[in-house]
Amino acid sequence: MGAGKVGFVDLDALVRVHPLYPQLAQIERSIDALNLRSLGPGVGSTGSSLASQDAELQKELTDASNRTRQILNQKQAEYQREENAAINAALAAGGHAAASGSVGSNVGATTGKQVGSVNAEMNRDVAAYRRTLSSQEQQQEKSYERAVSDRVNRQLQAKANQLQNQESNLELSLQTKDAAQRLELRTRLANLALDQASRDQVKAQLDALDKSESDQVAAMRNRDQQTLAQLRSQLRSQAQSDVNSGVAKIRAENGAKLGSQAGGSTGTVPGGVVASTNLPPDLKAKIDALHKEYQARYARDANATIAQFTKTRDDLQKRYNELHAVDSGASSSLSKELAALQAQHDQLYSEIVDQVEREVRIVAQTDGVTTVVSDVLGNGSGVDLTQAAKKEIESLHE
Amino acid sequence: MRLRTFRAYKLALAVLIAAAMIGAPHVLAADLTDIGYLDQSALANLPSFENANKQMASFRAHLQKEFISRARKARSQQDQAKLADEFQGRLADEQRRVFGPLFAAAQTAVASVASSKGLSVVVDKRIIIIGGQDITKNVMDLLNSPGSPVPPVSTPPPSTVGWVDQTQIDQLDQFKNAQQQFLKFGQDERASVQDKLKGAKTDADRNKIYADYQKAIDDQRAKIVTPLVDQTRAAIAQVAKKKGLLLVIDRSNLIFGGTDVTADVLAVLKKS
Repeated sequence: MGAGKVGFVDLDALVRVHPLYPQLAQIERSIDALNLRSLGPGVGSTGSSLASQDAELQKELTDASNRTRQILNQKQAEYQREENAAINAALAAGGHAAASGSVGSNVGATTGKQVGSVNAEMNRDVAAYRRTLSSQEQQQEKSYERAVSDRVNRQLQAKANQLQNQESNLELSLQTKDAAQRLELRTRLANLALDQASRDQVKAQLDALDKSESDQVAAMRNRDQQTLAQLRSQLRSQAQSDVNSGVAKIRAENGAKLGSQAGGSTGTVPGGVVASTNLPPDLKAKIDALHKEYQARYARDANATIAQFTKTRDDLQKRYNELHAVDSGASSSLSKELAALQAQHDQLYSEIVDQVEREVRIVAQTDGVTTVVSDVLGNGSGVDLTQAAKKEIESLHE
Repeated sequence: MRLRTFRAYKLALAVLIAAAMIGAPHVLAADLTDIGYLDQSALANLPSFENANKQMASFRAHLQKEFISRARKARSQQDQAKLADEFQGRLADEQRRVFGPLFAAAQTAVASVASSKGLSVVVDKRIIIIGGQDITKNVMDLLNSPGSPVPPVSTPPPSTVGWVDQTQIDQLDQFKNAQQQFLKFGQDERASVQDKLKGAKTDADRNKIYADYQKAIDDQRAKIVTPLVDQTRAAIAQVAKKKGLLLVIDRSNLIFGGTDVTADVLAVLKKS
């Protein structure tokens, strides 16, 4: 084994002067921002908050439903007692037709009071429901808009990274292709004996080479900018449409719930009435008609009221499940974006290091250094090739 | 630094193996450029190491189940912490039992090959850009051959490649304090960012918050960490020149040989 000089380089410093480093740094910043976003109160963290609000609303509605059912039962029993009392009074009066009208009026008045009482109770629930729903609707809309906006930004950033990568690759490939010619021209320029006319000619050739490369890269950049602008416009238009339809859907659902909630709270009816077979026909018919009418209204309104509460509760759960799905989708998308960026970072870093090491080999050979080590903590008498390698790598920018 | 972190991450397994090997005696070198290197990731692919990894994965999965089962019955956080310590200990014991003989055999094989080739130091392949002798195949052949590798009978001359155990430097008061200070700053900043993000209405607002956070971290790093890094580098360079070393590397990149200058560097840093 032969003796030779040992050198070293600061690889991190060399990576930083590589033409592709700005792109690597951009990816790192994107990763940092996404990592921070995953910790922050963004889309990814709205799930637990919504679940808690959902549970709160669910409890409120269940309570309201139970209260309504209880009130209906109480009123039903009360009405039944009063109706029976009215019929008994009518029978005691000897079956006069005039007494039946009085019974009917009393029944109507009692029922009216009962309906008013239940309505007041139900209206209190509706008001609370409306307030809660309105507040949560705003949160839903904000979360939805944010999720859509984040998605658009990530798509745009990914495309921008891809295009920037292609531009850098083109720049590098052009530089590599012209490297030999550029070196030859520079060598000729370094010749002190070169006359001015020849020098100007060589300089012009060198400038033309540089211009040709920069023109090609600039043309690509212009095309990429147009591509990005089109994509931005397209994505934003799509996003606005998504947001509009999402918000409209949320509002329509909430509006429908509030409407049906208010409509469903108006009905209540008395319970069954004991109808005597010994009444005068007209009185008996009137009482039977009243009984049937109120029985039917009770059954219809009571069922509608309960069903409305149940439906509201179920729909609410479904709506929040949908929102949670949006939220969960956003979190999953965030993780995928992070993984993709990390893979992109690793690949780019490897490419940069490969090229840096190629440049270091050239410098080492020129300086007669046979062994080069990176990741050195401190220098002794080894040859520091960092500055020379930096110049080589920086020349790739020119 | 992210670049360093990334490189370290790529060969985390290799570093694990290296950590078990670096207890080897420091050997001598005849030629300053006689630096050997080993591709530790290739070594980790040896059947014996692969089997050991499978054994450990199985043991870890079994241990995890047992831990979850017992952790449910733990009455307090203290009980849980005690339990976690117990299981960490059992995992470490198993690692020593499974990997210990393999690391010892690998260490002997590297020493044997280095001795036969007159190498003063063997480092990880990833820090060699050009030159050096690749002894990966020799070491693998030796480990794959029947019987245990035989320790070398002679020792090479002292190496002019030095190494420092940075974990010891990190234990100095000024380094520990700086590390804690920087860590706390990062935690506070993240909490502050979370609060600020709650009030952010647009993407531009959020992006500004992220950018401000990054700048605050960078500034704090430059203020707290960078001066210590510079101080350490200066101390290492001072020791390297005094001892006539070519260069000094980190212990995590060393596999065999080299000259340990950790104590000298610590002494310089304590004086400063």
